[in-house]
Amino acid sequence: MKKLSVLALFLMLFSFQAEAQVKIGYTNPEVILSQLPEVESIQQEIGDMLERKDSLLAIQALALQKELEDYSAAKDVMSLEQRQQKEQELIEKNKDFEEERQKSLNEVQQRQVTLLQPIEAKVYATIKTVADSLGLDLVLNEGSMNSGAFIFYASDDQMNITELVLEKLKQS
Amino acid sequence: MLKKFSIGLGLLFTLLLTGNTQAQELKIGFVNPQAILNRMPEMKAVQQRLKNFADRKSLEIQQKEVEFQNAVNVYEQKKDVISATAKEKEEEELQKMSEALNEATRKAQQDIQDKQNELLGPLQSQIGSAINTVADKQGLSYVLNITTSNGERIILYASQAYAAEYDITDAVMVQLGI
Repeated sequence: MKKLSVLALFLMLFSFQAEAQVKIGYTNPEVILSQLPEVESIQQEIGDMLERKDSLLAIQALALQKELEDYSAAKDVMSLEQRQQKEQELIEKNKDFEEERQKSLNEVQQRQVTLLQPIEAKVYATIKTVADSLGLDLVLNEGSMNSGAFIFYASDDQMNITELVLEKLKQS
Repeated sequence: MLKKFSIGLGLLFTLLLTGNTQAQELKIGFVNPQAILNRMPEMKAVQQRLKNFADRKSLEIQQKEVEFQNAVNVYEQKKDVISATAKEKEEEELQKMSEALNEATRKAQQDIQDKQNELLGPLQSQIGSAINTVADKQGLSYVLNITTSNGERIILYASQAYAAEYDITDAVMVQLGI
């Protein structure tokens, strides 16, 4: 009987221990990403792409600027009709240029998302692996560049899993 | 023997109680309010109304832009044949128009934002009170949002077993009857 109740006690203790508190860890995916060599090379690639697009756009902008200046110099000897036509043309060209600029920007952003997505997926999968191995119930995000801190304070005994995730990512 | 048994039982009860109070100390639930909002039957009409409102505002701004552009064209055509003072006055006029256009654009954006708050506000407070009801029923200490309004994740991971019990998104939908 005594043995039984001791056993029961132990069982209860354990089951309550397990149930008693939610086990929370935390990390910061942006910090993890920033420390991965793949991300560095992606940022390099995106930077290069942006520069390339920029220099192409700069050539177009210069050409447009030149056309505008030429028109300014010549318009006093042009007829009203010619002037209106030329102005319309310049407005159109300027609009095309703006569209081109927007398109370039979108392309670069799209490329960045495409390149980063698989790495982000890997980071989240690794967070899950680490959390499971530690028996965590929840992993919270510490914060983000855009929105600031989500967690203002965590005591030393709380589980910051950033290093563990980075280690695991390096192994794979 | 019987006495021992009762001590054991007493201990068990204490454990049960302490175990219980401990469990009640911190129960953290979480919810995805955006998913709930998107599922609300009113949402379709709200989105349509918001789109109509934004389209109307954008048309108003476009008309003002055309007016301004026309005024600039008129000025361009006559500026070489009018006096310096008249020219200065015209330019001042155009400057004012341009400022008014910027102000109108800013105000239109604000109006759209206000309209969004006005139409979504009631739905959001319905969701808020359903979250409160579910949280009370389940004895939760906290209910966290899973993402920010920018879409960044606040909860990076929840174990399946934990989510099964503490992700209250579905329960809130049930509470709302959707």
